[in-house]
Amino acid sequence: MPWWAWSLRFAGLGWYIALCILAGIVGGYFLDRWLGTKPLFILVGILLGTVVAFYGVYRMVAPLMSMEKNGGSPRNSNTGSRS
Amino acid sequence: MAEARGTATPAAAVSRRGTRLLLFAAVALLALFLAGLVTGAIGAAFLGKDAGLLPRPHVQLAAEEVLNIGGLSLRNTVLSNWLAMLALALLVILATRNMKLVPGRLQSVVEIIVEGLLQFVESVIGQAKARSFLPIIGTIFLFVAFNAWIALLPIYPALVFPESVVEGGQQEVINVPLLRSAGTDLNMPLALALVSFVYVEFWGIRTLGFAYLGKFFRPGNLLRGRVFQGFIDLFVGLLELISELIRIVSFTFRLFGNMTAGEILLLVASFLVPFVFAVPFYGLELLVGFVQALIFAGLTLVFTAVAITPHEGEH
Amino acid sequence: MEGIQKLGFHLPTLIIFMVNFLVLLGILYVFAYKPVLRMLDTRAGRIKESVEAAERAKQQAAQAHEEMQKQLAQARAEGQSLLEQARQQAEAYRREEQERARQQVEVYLQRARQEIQAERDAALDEVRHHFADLAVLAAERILERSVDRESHRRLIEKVLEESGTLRRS
Repeated sequence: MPWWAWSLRFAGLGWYIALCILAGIVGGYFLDRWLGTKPLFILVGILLGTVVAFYGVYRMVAPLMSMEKNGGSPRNSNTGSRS
Repeated sequence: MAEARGTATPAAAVSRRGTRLLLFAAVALLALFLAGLVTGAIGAAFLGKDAGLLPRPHVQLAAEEVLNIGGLSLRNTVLSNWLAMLALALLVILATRNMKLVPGRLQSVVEIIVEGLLQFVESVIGQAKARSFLPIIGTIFLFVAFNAWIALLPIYPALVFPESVVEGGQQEVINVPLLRSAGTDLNMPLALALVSFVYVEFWGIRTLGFAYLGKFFRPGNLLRGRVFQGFIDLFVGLLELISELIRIVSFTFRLFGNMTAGEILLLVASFLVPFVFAVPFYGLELLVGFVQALIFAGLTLVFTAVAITPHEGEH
Repeated sequence: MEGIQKLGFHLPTLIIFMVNFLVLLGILYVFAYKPVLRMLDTRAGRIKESVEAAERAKQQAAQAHEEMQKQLAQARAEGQSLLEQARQQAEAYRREEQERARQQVEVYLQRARQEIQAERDAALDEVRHHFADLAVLAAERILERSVDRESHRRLIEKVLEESGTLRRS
């Protein structure tokens, strides 16, 4: 793959992060409404969403980092790299 | 003076004429710009008038329905899309009606387009598979690009019909465009994103079979009793699935946002200063249309390339 | 749902766009990708063909050139050998002719010599003959005059000496 293709794979990273956190917030919000534990699950949701988002980002970027380390072309692994 | 002109070389005369023409054009452009400045919204505000030459732009994200044929509502973006398709179809049909080994002008254009797209596909996916990927990828590119470019035609802001709407408890007359750039309708990017998504998954499954689905669902460790690792695997698979689905959203809104922003930019630029001022933005929108088409097609291509690459590790 | 409606989501329109895309795909496939790719292949095939033909022609030309060169060399060698042969023949002929001329000369010379010899012998014979006559005559004269013994001898000796001198020359 040419260099630009590798950069294209990270084109949707922002959406990924935003939507993960948003999903956590929305889920927590409804859980709170359902269980009546007003601020608890929304905070848990934010935390979980953030963790998931960053873990996902890490997995996407991992092959690129291995490329940096090896100084060669990144291995075409399935681990991550979806955006 | 007359003699001096007579003795001058023809080239010098032409260049002098060219310079004069250029000067004239510059003055005319400047005059138009000033006229635009005076007659536009900015000038109106300075002069204390109510409105400029053009009515205030009305920005509405949802495309307007302009036709209703037996309950099937047709939006102005659909009309524009048909226009773009018509133009594209005419171009290719006329160009390839009787192809020659030594191509004519039109045939050359279409050949250059198709060859360029083929090279683009080849650069990512390799020569062996490029031809089977060309149709969809190329069509995505042309679909996006032509829809964006055709909306830059001056008939787009010209063909409007007034419609009175109630907005904020106040009757207001707005101009509804008969044609509107298809990219500014959320449905068009969404349709393309769905096509792209289906295409990527289709190729993944077709090339790798069930191994491809194993990317999203890995119960292996769980079934073997390794509970913690098993749950991690399930979680990772879920993550993959989520990122795959989020791609639809990011595809959709990238194109939608860019097209809509361009449309609004042109609208506002023409509203503020009617003449000349918007021309550079038209050039910009030409480029944006090209780039967005390239990105949409390129992303689909890249993700397909990733999907058909056998993945190592756990299955 | 309200928000997405406000953004303009509309299922029929979405389906229309999808159908449009597929229609466009079909049109482009039939009228753009297929014919253009076929044309590219045709052109590539043509180019390959003509390159091959050019290669062949070049090879043939090279072969012909080589052939010609060979023939030329052969012809030259032949000519050379012919020339050499001619020269040798000419040389042989010349030598032969020379030889023959020399032999002729030899023969002439021999004959001339023999003739001379014969003539000389004849002449000598004649001289001797004369001489004998002369001697007889002289003897007769001597006898007539009655010469003494010693004068006889002297005379004969002298005569013989003279004749010897004659013979020797």
